[in-house]
Amino acid sequence: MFDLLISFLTNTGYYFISQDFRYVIMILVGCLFLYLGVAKKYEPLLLVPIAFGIIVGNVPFFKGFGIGIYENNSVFHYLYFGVTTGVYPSIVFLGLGAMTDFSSLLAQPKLMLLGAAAQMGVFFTLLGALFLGFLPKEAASIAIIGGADGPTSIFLTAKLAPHLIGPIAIAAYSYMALIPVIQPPIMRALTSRKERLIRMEDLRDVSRTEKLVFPVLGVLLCCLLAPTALPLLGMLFLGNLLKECGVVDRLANTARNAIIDTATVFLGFSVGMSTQADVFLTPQSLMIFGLGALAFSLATASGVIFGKIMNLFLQRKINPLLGAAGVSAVPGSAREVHLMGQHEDPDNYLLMHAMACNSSGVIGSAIAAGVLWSFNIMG
Amino acid sequence: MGLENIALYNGWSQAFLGAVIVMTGLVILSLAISQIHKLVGIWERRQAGSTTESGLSTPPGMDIPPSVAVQCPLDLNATLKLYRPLTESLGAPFQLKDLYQRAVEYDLPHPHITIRCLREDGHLLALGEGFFNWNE
Repeated sequence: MFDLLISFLTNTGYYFISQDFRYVIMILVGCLFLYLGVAKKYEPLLLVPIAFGIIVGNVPFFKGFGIGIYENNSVFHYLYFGVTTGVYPSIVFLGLGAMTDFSSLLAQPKLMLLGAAAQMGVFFTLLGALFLGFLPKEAASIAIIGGADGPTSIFLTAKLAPHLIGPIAIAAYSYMALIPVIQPPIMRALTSRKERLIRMEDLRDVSRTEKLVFPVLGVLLCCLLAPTALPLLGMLFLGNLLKECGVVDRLANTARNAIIDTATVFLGFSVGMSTQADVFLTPQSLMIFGLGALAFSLATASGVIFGKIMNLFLQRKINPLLGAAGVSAVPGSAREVHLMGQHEDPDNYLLMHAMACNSSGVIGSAIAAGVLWSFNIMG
Repeated sequence: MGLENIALYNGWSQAFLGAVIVMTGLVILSLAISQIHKLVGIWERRQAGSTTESGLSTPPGMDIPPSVAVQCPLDLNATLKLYRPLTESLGAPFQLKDLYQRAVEYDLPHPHITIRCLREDGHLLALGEGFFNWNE
């Protein structure tokens, strides 16, 4: 009987934790993210399931009994399937399309260029990651953090460097939550007061027909250029079409509520569970966090600088702050741009114009992910 | 590690080409969508033109009822006191369709006409692209 008791006790999580303190550290990391998500409201929709997934995923257990996320036939392994295959990010994009109003973008299509410019942060970070010694697939996965789009980052990393999903997802969502800290100093440093005071012209009304044509045109033009962006952009534009056509309101409502929420819970929880000590507590993770900060900063700077370059050629100037909204952290970066504009001039309403840049940033980051994926599968 | 690593893995080409492809894609898309409203306008004018030419502005046997005069609420200030609290949870600025939905949920009478009268009377200020705020 004593042997049985000893055998049981040496199979408990307490025993395994005592053998490897890194589990404790990861559980504490999970608790920290849970605090940030719940108390500080940093991107809670993803951070709360990710944080709890970290806690659950780092409870040690006896291997070989189909419990853990990396063990075949375990429950968590089946949930993780949606991450490794890219199913969850695609479903999230369906819901995103069903809740996005592209009319501000359709009213001022030139603002799409600011979304494109902000994606330059992705490619600068690619160079930085290669410089630091990461392999090409790893570098591409790290670079896409600069797209500031969580599902896109997870999608590409799952395809190219699944062992880095944990640190990359945590970095992406942490920096998205830190947009109010990262962006304002860069916006202020790169623009003059006179530029920040520029008022945008009122947006014209957009007809229903335009909003119907856009998703069809968008998927064809973008995905004929980069077919590897189909899983993301195809779903994004499908969701938008469901919303705009007006004849399938039930489907659109389900897509932007039940479907996206379900995918979000499983995506966050699975990603959190996959974030285990041997991958997360490494010098590599520190480099990923550093590159992530660089990616966000460069993306913001690229967008703002491109806005200033556009003003050299435009008769009716645009407010270069809008370039920072090309970083597709929806709606955080748009809100920061609007607040900075209001800070200079309380009657300057930049929000709808910033949302146009935000929307184009989502499309741009998905195209960037598709391009990086195609480079690495052709490579 | 270092610049040699970038060159070894074709990093410079990937970064440059990737940036060009993303920019090109979005430029093409922006050019295309800048033309949509013109094409839609041409299409709609053609549709309106063909309807007028055929002389069938209304289907036969169906008379368009005379338009009903808009009756604004007699006491617009009292109506304002009913409508303003509806926007507290919407925040500012808000969209008229959200205000309309709230008015319907609370069974307020004739919400469409009321909101129109509040606009015409200057209590609702347009901020552009369908966003409104109350005139303080």
